[in-house]
Amino acid sequence: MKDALSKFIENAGWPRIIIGLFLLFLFAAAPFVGVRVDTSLSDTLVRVGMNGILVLAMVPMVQSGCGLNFGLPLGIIAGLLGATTSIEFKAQGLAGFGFAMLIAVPIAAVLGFIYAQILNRVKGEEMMIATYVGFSSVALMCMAWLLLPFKSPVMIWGYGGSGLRTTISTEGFWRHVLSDFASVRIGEFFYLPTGMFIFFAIMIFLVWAFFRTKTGTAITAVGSNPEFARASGINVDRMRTVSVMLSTVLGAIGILVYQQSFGFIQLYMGPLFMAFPAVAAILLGGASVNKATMVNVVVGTFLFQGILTMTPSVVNSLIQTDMSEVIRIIVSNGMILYALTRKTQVKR
Amino acid sequence: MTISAISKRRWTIRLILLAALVGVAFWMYEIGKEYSVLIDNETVTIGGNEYAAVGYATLTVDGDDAKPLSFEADDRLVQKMVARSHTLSVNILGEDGETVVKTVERRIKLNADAAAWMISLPAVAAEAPEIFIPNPLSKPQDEQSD
Amino acid sequence: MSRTNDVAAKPLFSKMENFKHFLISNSVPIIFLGLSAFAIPLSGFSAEYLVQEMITRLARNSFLVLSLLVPILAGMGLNFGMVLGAMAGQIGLIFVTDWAVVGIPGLILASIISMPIAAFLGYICGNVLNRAKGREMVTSYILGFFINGIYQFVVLYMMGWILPITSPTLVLSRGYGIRNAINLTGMRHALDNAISLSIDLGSETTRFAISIPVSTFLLIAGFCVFIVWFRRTKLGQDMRAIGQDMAAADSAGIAVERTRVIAIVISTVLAAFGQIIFLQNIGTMNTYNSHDQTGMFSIAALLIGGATVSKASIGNVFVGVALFHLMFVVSPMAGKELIGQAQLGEYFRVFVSYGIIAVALVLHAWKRQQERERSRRGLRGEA
Repeated sequence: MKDALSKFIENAGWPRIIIGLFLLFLFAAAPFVGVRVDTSLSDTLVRVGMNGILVLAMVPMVQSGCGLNFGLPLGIIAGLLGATTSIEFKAQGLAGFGFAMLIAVPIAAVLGFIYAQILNRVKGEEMMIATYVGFSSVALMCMAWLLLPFKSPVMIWGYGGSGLRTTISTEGFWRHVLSDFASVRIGEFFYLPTGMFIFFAIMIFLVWAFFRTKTGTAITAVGSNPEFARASGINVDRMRTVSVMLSTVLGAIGILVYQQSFGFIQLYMGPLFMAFPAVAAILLGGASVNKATMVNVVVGTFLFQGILTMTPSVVNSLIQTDMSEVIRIIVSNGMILYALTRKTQVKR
Repeated sequence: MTISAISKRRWTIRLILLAALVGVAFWMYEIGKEYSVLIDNETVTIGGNEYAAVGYATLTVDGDDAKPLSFEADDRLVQKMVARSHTLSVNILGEDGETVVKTVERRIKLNADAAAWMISLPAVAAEAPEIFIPNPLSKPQDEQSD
Repeated sequence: MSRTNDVAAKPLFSKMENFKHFLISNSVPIIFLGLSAFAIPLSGFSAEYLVQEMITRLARNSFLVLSLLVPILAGMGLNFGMVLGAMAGQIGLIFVTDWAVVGIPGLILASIISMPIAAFLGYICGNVLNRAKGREMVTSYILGFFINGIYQFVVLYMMGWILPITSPTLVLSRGYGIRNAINLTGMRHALDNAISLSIDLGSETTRFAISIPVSTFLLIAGFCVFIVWFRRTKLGQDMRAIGQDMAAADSAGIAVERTRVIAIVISTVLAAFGQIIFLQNIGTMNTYNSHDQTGMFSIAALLIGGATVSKASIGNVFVGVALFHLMFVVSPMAGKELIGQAQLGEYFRVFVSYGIIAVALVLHAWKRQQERERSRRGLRGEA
């Protein structure tokens, strides 16, 4: 029993356990400070569905040894282009959402391909470069959002301005299109966006299945031992490119799911820091810099979003101050730091 | 020299530098701290003597002729001073508010609790031995000296 | 070639080759100079305004950028953790403002107070980086955010409560926590104006009056002298050895881990001083934002000056600060003239700041990878 416990602790890692216990404590304390558990649970689950695919997008690049995808904004930009285009063409409902995906995915694939060419030439420094490539593209797109020829009146600045607004509502187009699909409502306070979860589950299954294919296993081999993979005849660069493209495409899909739930499209500097919560979440789920599983994705997203949802309501009611922002910064960056400072088995 | 002697010397040097740094810090505090001193022009009684409010007067600190403070009766003005020792220069003016009737120079030294005290302009004008009176806006402290 | 017959030695490389080499190794600043030359007339700023802005910004920012040199010397890359030093400097300024110590004594006191804080933070940073060898830059980047969270916790919740800050102009109305904007009126321009020079080269038709903060530049010059001297000390040589080859330095008996930590501590403390100099020039401190862009702007400036992740000189610092800030000042108006939206120019300068760092990182890592592959191919016995 004690062996099993110590093994569990060693596998899970202290930070995960501490945060898991903290989350449990928050849920337990909630009713005592006037916070409804069912609302909180519902909120947490909604956020898990919203962010899940963005976290999933981390997996391919981690598995292929490209590190944590700080360049997720590239995929997000592709998704934003899909979203804005679908609204420009007044596409609605599930069809509208599908149309957005139809536009976003090819763009993401192209962007991912270019991105992979850069990453393949900078092995060893991928994460830092990913960050700044991501930042630069967000800034570049800021200029593009001002100049692209969009005409839809719900997206353009009013009174004859030019360029897109900073935030665009998806209301009336495909807001909640997935979330409301087969959604469950228990009482006044509990809402389960079943459709979104089904979609999330499908995506997880697809990625899981992908990694069981020949290409998928090749990618994992490249990540865990590039020399051995090369010796086995695997084209390391090609596998890395596939993983980067997959990651970017998942990012595009992820932001679309996020937007249909959130109800808004955030342009300009919105995507700038969106990689960080996803990185923190997957690390919180137990992934390392070069290994990530589906379990990491689900557990990590739940823990991370749980902390994000519960801390404002509970801690703030408890000590009468709003500490949520500070706690979020410390927890998410602390997790990333912990992962970065762990000794990895693979040395380049 | 032995190894322990070298590292002992290194540590002594480090301690001296540290002490010097702390010393400089305190020194900077002394010469850099800015006090906001209230100067009050009401009739007061200090140590048994009564000093009447001055009709018109100007006050300059440390010979800064550019910005004199002008006082009328019952005025209470604030003057910022950096560090502790200063020279107050009071020009008492006549009824017309222009001709200088009397000039008084006085060196003062502020204490750390300068915020608890005010300077009484009438006392300065009368060249009284004690010119500090309690600041009613803060808690009373020990006696000042000058 | 008839070199062997020449009695008078011909130069080893032709002038053309030397010039080409100069262009390539300084490609980044040259590109920037070209961009600026294009944008300056577009922006419509007068020469007087630009020269004065450049002088002010050079005085304001050079110290911060100079603090980046030491970690690069020690092979630790771009110290994104310099923001830790900036935060330490700001804490020093908060205390000094609360105690109402003004002028240069205030600045010195703030620096002294920030030193132990900066040294402590630098110590943490150095040790964290030692545990993340090979990933120093990302780690210091994230560490910056992490410590920012802790800084916010301390300044927003503990100051005025556990940490004694009393001045009502500093503390929020709820009784604890520091306000977002603090006026540094007592210390504003204290260093700049200590020795300042006003030059008037104007003529009848053109105005040209500029003022130069000589004292600040003297301090910066002193720092440069310090860096030159430091490189010659044993510690500096140790760092350079570590920067060139960590394994070789280790086998040569250098305490690699400890020296790396010292490099970061020095850099962090200097960044604290740099932030204090920066803020005394601006005159107001945004408690929660002033330090945010410090790291990125300083690193972007250094890279624009032609430095790389593994090599940076004092010249890079000044050229970089001048060019970066030139572009910074000129872009919005140039963008407005070119496309009709000033906003575009502002986004352009953000794009350039991020892009230049991305490009520099890519170039550096690309070169490293090529060298690695070359040696690996040699080992494998390929052609």
